[in-house]
Amino acid sequence: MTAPLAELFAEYHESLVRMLYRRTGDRDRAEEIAQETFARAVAAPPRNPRPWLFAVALNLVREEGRKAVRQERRLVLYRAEQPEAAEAADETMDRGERIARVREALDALSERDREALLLKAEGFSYDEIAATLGLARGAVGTTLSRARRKLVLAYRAEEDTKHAAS
Amino acid sequence: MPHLDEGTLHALLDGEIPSAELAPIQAHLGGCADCRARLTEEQDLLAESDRLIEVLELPEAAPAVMPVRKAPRRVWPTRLAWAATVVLAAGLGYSARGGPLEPAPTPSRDSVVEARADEPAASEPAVSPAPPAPDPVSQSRDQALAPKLGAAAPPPADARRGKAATGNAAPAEEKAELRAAPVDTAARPPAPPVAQPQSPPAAPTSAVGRVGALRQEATGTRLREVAPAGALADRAAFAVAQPATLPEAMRVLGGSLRLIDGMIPERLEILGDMVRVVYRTGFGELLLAQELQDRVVRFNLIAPRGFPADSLERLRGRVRE
Repeated sequence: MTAPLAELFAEYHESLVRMLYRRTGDRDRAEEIAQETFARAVAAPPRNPRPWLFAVALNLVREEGRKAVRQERRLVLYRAEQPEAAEAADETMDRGERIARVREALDALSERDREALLLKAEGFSYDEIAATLGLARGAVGTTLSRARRKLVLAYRAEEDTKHAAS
Repeated sequence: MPHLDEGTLHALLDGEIPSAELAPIQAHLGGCADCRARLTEEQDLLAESDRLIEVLELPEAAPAVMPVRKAPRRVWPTRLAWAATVVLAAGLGYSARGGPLEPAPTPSRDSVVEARADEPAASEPAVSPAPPAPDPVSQSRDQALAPKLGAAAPPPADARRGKAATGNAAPAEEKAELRAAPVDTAARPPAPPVAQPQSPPAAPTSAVGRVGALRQEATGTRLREVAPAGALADRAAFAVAQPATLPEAMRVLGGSLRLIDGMIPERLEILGDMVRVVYRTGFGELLLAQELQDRVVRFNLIAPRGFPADSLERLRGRVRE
């Protein structure tokens, strides 16, 4: 028995938008994709909603991501999130800079690793991650361990480079 | 057993090892210092990874409109969220003592009722374990309060009656109004967090006073809050906390502290007799509130808005001393 759509929306919408925002860096685009995803759920109500919704959303991201226009827009956003020229002290970073660095670090991951990490951040169980991404359940732990390690190392590496440059 | 690979270590930290496989893994860890060291390293890595992702907070935006096949109809997120959470709560059949969740507090709150009205979406279910020996007095009191607690923010009155966990909608509403008055001193800026002790009412005339007196009889402890001592979740969510160290917290709880297996606490807080272990999650702060009552430590898990109910269930099962 599928949940009424209103409840589906109430329960998953914010989580989906947050995951999409972290995935794309673009709040508006995240909202658009979420709307499109729920519209598809209206047409074909899913039996196992959370993995279904997130899988459809991630597919939409991948499809759109291939367009060059999107790439350009993302670069613009990166720049918008960077602080204005000048003086950030070595040890302190303002939020915009920190956000940009985390995003860069996330981009260093493979698509699968990144998606697994973001789904975990939305409270998905290993079973749900496996279902959403089409992974074997036994592979989820390894995927997450690799993703977490890479994220942290990429982030630290950026800090080191920026330190060295200044 | 051979050394544990990284995937296993992370599955362990995420609480995803099936119970049947847990024993040999723990046995290995008991005898293998290398794996223990690696486990600690992976735990730090996990925490740092979580912290980095949480830097990417969702920026503010206009409330969303749910898509429908026909002409778009504007649906208020508040009502949807509230309806969804009540259905969830009823479905889970959570105990009245626990009560539903309240949204995480901010220190500048003036009154409980006002604060609830401000929150864009209402509460979620806080599933708490049935206390070992529930005394009938406080249980019936909690049951009467439950519909009120369930009807947090501005829900339509008819929907509230229809979906209340028990049939006591009328007395609950009365209590709701009476709650509003004393409670506005409950949340105070910095120093003394927990509100003043309630003067024991000689002849209680209000529902508030009556409830307070009942609780006093039932547990034999001095009443600590101005508000009627509602469920642990209620007080935990709204009092203003003081940061605490582990020894302090254990002292308050009579020597033991409960934690969620596999999760790393962000900080500890003390509110009078209650200890709150704060965990960060992708949804906001998850609170493990615990208190010594009748020489037994009772606890409740309070999840932030949007936190999945099944994950909450799972975490509840992982609360250990």
